[in-house]
Order: sequence, then C-alpha cells, then structure tokens
Amino acid sequence: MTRAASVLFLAVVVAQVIGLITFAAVRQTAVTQGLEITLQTAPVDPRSLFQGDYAIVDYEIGELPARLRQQPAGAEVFVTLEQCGEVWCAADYTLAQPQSGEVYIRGVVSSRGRLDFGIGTYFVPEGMGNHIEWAQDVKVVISLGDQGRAVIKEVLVDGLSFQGGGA
Amino acid sequence: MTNDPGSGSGDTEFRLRLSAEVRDWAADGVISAEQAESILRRYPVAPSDEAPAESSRTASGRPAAGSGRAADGSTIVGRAVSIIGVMGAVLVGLGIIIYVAANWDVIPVWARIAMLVAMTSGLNAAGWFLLTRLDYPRMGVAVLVVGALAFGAAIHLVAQIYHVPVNHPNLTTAWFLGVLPVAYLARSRVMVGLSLGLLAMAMGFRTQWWLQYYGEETLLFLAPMTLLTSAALCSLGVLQRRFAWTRPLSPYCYYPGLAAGVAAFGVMAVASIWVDVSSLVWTVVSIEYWITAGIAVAVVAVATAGLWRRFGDPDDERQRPIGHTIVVSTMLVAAALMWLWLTFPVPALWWLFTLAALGGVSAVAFVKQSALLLVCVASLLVLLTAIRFVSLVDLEGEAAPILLAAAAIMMAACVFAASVTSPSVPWLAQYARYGAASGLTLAALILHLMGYGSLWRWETPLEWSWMPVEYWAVVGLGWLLAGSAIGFVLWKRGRPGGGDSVWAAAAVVAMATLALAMWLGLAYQASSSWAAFNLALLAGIAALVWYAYVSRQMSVAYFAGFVFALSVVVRCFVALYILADGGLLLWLGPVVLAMGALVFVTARLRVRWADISKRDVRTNFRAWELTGMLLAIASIYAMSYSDPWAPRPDGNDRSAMTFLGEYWFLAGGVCAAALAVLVAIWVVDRMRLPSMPVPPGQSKWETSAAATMGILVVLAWLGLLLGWTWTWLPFNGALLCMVLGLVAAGYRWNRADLINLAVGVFAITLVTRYFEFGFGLLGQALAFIVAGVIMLVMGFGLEFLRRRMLRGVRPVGATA
Repeated sequence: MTRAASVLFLAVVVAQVIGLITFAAVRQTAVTQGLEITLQTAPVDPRSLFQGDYAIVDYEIGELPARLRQQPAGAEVFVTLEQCGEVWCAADYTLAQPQSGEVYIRGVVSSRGRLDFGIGTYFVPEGMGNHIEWAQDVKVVISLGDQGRAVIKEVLVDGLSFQGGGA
Repeated sequence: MTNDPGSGSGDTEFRLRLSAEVRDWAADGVISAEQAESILRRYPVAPSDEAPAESSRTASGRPAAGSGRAADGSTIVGRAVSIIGVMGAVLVGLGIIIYVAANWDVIPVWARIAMLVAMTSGLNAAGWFLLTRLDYPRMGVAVLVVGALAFGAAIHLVAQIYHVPVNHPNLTTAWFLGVLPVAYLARSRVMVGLSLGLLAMAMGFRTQWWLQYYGEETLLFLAPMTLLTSAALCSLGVLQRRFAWTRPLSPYCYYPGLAAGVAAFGVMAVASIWVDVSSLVWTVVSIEYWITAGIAVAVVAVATAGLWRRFGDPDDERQRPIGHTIVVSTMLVAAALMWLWLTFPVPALWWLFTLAALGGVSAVAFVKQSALLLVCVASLLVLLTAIRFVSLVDLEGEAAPILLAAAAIMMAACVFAASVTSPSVPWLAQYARYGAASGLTLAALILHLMGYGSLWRWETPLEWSWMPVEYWAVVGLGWLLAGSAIGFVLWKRGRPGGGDSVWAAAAVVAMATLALAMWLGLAYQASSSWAAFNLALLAGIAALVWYAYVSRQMSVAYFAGFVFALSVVVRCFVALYILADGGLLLWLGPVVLAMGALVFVTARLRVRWADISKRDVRTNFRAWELTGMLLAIASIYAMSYSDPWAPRPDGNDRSAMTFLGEYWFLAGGVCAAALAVLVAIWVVDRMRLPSMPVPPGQSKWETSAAATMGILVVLAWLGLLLGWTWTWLPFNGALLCMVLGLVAAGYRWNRADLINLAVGVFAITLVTRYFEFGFGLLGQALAFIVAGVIMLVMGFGLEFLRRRMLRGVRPVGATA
C-alpha cells in the first residue's frame, strides 16, 4: 500500500473515533444539562412490551386532542407542559413552536395517531424484563433540551429506579 | 508508475507470469542475466504470492520434482485461508455483538465508551498493519472485517446507553459511511460487499422517513427507488472499471446493483398483480424520498456521461458503453412506468412495464450476444405470465388447476419450440438443449399432476365465462408463436440439423393435443381423463428413449432417465404427503438412497463402453457418479438425525405404510433396477465384454459402495417398519465411513472431485453439528465467538503451512 493510502486510512479511523465520541458527548450533555421532568406513561399492553431487551412506552401526553386528530402522520406538534403534582402534564397542544420561555416538548404524529417524542424506547438490563412487565406504574424521568428535544434520564418502576445514560 | 504490489489478482498474476517468462528467456539466452535482473527488480512479486511452479524450472528447463503439487496445494490452501479467515472473523464479530448487547450494564458509561473506541480503532489498526506492513493480506482483511463489525457494534452500543432506538436511520447510515472508505482503501472485495449490505440496511431504515406509514401499497413505492439505486450502483460499477485502483472491485459493485434491480422489478411485477392501489394519495411519500431519487438519477447521468467521454481508444467500438446505457435507461423507464402505475392502476400499464423492462434486457442480450440473458428473459416472461394467470383464474373453482395446467403445457410447448428454432442464431445454439429440456420437463411434470384421479372429480360443471378474455388472448398468442416456430423449423428441413425437425414438430403437436384434451375433459366432465395422462407421460418417456437411440445422443437418454427418476420421487412424496401430514417423510429417505445407488451403478456400467481418455467424456461420467453419491450422502445425512426416528406421540400406525401400494411398487422398482444393474456389471466383467475394462480395484470399490448403500436401505426400512428408534446411530457411522472411503478412493485413483466431495460433506457436517451442540451448551454468543476463534486460529495455521510448502521448493535465480 502506498503511504498516501495509509494516511487516508488513519484519517478514516480518526473520523470513526471522533464520530463515536461526538455521538456520546452530544447525548451526554443533553442528559445532564436539560430540564429534569417526570412524565407518566400510558398503560402498556404487556404482550407488545418487549422486542429483544428493550421496552416500548407510550406517554399520557402523547394523546392528541380532538381538534388535532386529523393531522397526517409526520406532522410536528408541540406540547406545552406544566407541573401536576410529581409528574408534568400537558397544558396545551400547538402546531407552531412556542416562545422560548415556555417548557415544551416536540412530538411527531405517528402512524397510530399518537405523538412520538423520540423517547419511546428504553433498554433494560437482561433479566430485568419481568419487573417492568409486571409493573403497575412506570414513570420516566427525561431531560428536556431548550428546542423541545428530550432524552431519557431514568426510569422509575413502582418507585424503583432503572438507570439511564450518563452515570 | 506505481511500484506497490497491488492486491488486485490480475496485477499479481501478470507479475508472476512475467517473472516466469523472464527466467525462461534468461535460461534460453534471449536476454542477458543483467537484463533479467533489472526486469525482475522493476516488477517485484510479493513473497506471499509467489508460486513455486513458475520459479521451479532448473537451468536445463526441467521442472523441479514435486513442485507442481506444492504449487497446486499452495493455491488451494491459500484460498482456504481466505475463506476460513473471513468466516472466522464474521463469527467472532457476530458473537461479540450478541454477547455485549446482553451483558454490559455493570461497567460505568465512560469506561464502556472508552473500551468501544479502543476496540474499533485497535482492530482497524491491527488489520491495516497485517495487510500492509506484516504481509498477511488475507488475515489482515479478515481482521478489518471484524473491525467494521466492531464499529457497528460500537455505534449501536452507545445508542443503547442513551436509549436511542435501534431503528434510528442515522445509526446504520453512519455505520455505512464508516465502512465504505475502509473497503476501498484496503481494496477488499469482502468489505465492499459488506458496505453494500450496510447501504441496503441504511436505506431500509431510512424508509421510516420516506413513507408516511407501512402498508402493502406504500411499500410498493420502494420498488422504483430500488431500481434507481441499482442503476446508480451499476453506473458506479462500470465507471470503476476504467480506473486501475478500483478495477478489481468493480464487479462487486456492479453485480449486486444489477441483482437488486432485477429483484425490485420482479417484486413490483408480481406484487402489482395482487395489491389494490386505487386509493393511494401522493402525500404518502416525503421530500427526502424524492431527494434520494434525484441524487440517484444524477449519479446515473453523471457516471454514464463520464463513460461516453472517450476513455482509452476513441475508435475502439467495444469501449462504447452501449450495453450499459441500455441497461440503466431500461431501469429508469421501468421506474417511471411503475410510478405511473401507482397513480393510474390499469392492467394495461402492468403489461407495458413488464414488456418494456424485458424488452430492454433483450436488447442488451442482442448487443452482447448473450444467450444466457435471453434465456433469463424468456424464463421471467413465462413465470410472470404464469403468476398473472393464477391471479386471473378463480382459485376457489375446482376446475382451476386443470385450466392452469392447460395453459402451462401450452407455455412448455412455446419454450420447446423456441429452443428448437434457436440453432439458426449461432450464439443461441448452445442453449437450445437446455431450453428443450426445460420445456419437456415442465410438460412431464404437468402430465404427472394431471395423472392424479382425485383432480378429475368435481361437483359443478365448468362455465366458460369464468375465464377472462386476457387468458384466451395470451393462450392464443402462445399457440401462434409455437406454431410459427415449428413452421420455421419444418421449412428448414432440408438444411443441416433439420433432420430432427419432424420429431420437434411431433412433440409440439403432442403437447397441443394434450392441452386440448384437458380443456375438452373439463368441458365434457370426463372424470377418467387421468388415466390417459398417465399413459401420455409413459409414452413420452418411451419416445424420448427411442429418439435417443435413433439419433445416437446419450444425453437425451440420460434426460429421459432424469425425468423418470424425478417422477418416481415426486410420486412417492405426494403419496406420503397425502397419507400423513408429512410425519412419514422419513420414508422418502430410503427411496432417495436407492435412487442414488441406481444412478451411481448405471454410470459405472456405462463407463465400460466409454473412451474415458477423452476429457469431456470423463467429466460427463464423473458428474453422473457424483450425482448418485450426492443423493446417497444427502439421504444418509438426513436419516442421521435422532428426532425423526423418535416414536410419534400421535401414534401414526407404521403398519399402515405396508398398505400403501404405490409407494412399495415404486421403491421396490428402483431397488430391483439397481440390483439388476449391479448384476449386469458383474456378468459383463466376468465375460470380458466391455471395450474399456476397469481395473479390478475400481470394480471392487464400485461393488462395495453399492453394497453399503443397499445395506443402509434395508436397515432404514427395517428401522421404519419395526420402529427401531436407534437407527440413526449406524447412519452417522455410515456417513463417516463414506467420507473416509471417498478420500481413500480419491487418493488411489487421483480423483480430485471425490476428495472435494468428501471434504465438503465433512465440513458441512462438522459445522452443522457444532452449532447444534454449541448453541445448546455454550449459549448463542459464546458459540459464535468460540467457532470464530477456532477458525481464525485455523486460518493462521494454514497460512504458516502454506508458507512452509512454498519455502520447501528452492526458487531458481534469474541467471542461466
């Protein structure tokens, strides 16, 4: 191989490393620097809970109000949030992005007519699946960025905590 | 002028050949020793690729003893190293992915990320060093493959830490973008293939952002997109052929692209018959879909334009990319017609895009004078028409199979007639035989099906209004084509090769009469028609054998035998399937074993009158022997599993099998035939009748092989009838003995094909047994890793062996 090829190869490997670290760093800052919010999950059908060792959740705030049910799949909807006790619930649903002072989360209308916030899956340590499946109450602690994007921080199952990212 | 020993095989071959020639020139005094030295210095050959056969000539020109075998051995072992190395790498990679995906929660996050980064970069660096500095190219590529898989694992594991869903499109896109440059820098075919696989996966995941929802009708939008991507890949592939750096890799870009295009067209052509798209709205696809489509079209346009700019000799007609242009324009036109059909789903548009696509490919076939392409087009057309018929005929109706069969036998007649006409176009002549054979096989299978009595008993009479006009239109057109082909053949009767035309015409007329008989049998509800079709099948086989005798073509007789054997096995299978729900399929084992024995001994009998000093005659007979042995080994392998022999809880009465007359008649017939041929061999040898007698050692080998198969058949039947659940044990032993016997016979009579068969069977058995055992004991992930590590160690071991073999032969210097 020529020297040029070796240099190019080194560049590719460095690019791979930088890519991985950037990916991790971006998500890590999202976890540690966002606003911490607890959301209530909607009751999940235990049969469709698991695919491999990750779980799929729906959120109570994912339910669209009647006036927005006609929105096609892929449309953006912003949900303004307010604190209701220990969880946060939906104050308003808008199609336009709210003012920067407000606490809001960005969702996309899914093909099933509910909102998808990008926090619908969480990975479960092997063997812990049964605890989640038989749980009565699952709450998810998310870290909300200022553009309405959220990442999962922690998952509370009947009060028990399953660690998310960014230890 | 680059001075590096490229990993492209063409380059290395040239250097090896040049160094061999230069040594010969120096030995003959054509050039001086100094000139030879300077030439060899200019075109160095990497020691890892040097084959001693080229360098083993001594000064007097005689090859050094044993060098030829070492050279052949070295090439075989070299290939084995590549295959084993890559397989080992893939297994290790898969194992690592599976293992870590399940077990990584204990380690803190920052440590996990550091380990992933270290693993990826370490593997890649190690692979590169092995490839370039340490001169282990094959193992280097294997390690780079592990590195590529590790990169993917790293991406997905970081995603897992932060709960990013695994189907996020950007994950696989990033994986693809990380692997592609490495593939091209290392110039590895395996990695290019891997990158294309990742591209397909990445595009698959991106469809979430292309389609509003996943439904039958929206998924059809993926077909035109796949066609455009294939056109882009083909264009890139052909473009790569023009640059020396990428030339060895261009087929691995081109052919997958082509295959994807054919697959997309096939899926669209079939799916559009069944799916209702009348309620489709265009907002179903997003902007990103159209952007990707636009990029693909742009790539095709730029690459094809680049090809038409004169590369190389402007006057060389063969460099004009006409064939390629036709291929990509066909793909683009087909894609456009598909979008049109998705908007206006009219049946006529289906015929339009099917015929346009197949027409384009036929144009390419005529440009490249490729008979194979034309045969593929014809087969595709027949297949698609058949599927369309199935959708047109009301499958609930009882008469449906007969209507479909009548149409099918008409199509068989067309195929047969077309292939009989083809010798008038010289470059098609080579496929005439295969076309005729496939037409006749199809007709035989249809007659076979029509020979079942249960098919001809139904309640309601046929109403001719059931069949749409399209069915009769296509049938009529087919008859017209077959008739004109035969007319053409009869017209050429006086010319060379025209003597067979009467037989061909008779065959087509026979098939026409049979189709007519099927329609008439339906119309007049003749429920005893099945007997006539059984007779027709037997008469057809007899006619084939008579034709073989008259025209002195052994291959036709073999074909008749093949049709007969196929019918026997299929009849047994259907008889067993009707009796039980497949639980008694084990009974098929002894039949196939007996069939293998019959094929084997028939070949050995015929060998005694063949001039096997001629290479093509020898190849013919070896193929027959191998077919027989393969059938035997396959059935022994199938019967060596313990599960099928276990007692069945639903209590299928084995004694019921004794009453299944048809099965015993057919199976007994095959066994009797095999025994008769074996006796004939014995008699012929004793009376010294054969013109080419075989050595006594070989005849003993034949008899013992046939006897073993016979004993196993009897053992299998006893085990089945008396319910011996341990019967699978001796079959495992038999498998081992056959492998050892094949190796011994191969060494004794210098038959590489026997050794290859033995090694292949051994390898497959080992691999399947290891995984059955390993998964149970070790768990899935660990089984993969252990297997992969074993193979990597074997790869290194074989590479050392190979280097030792090369060093054992003294390379001769360039001086005379």
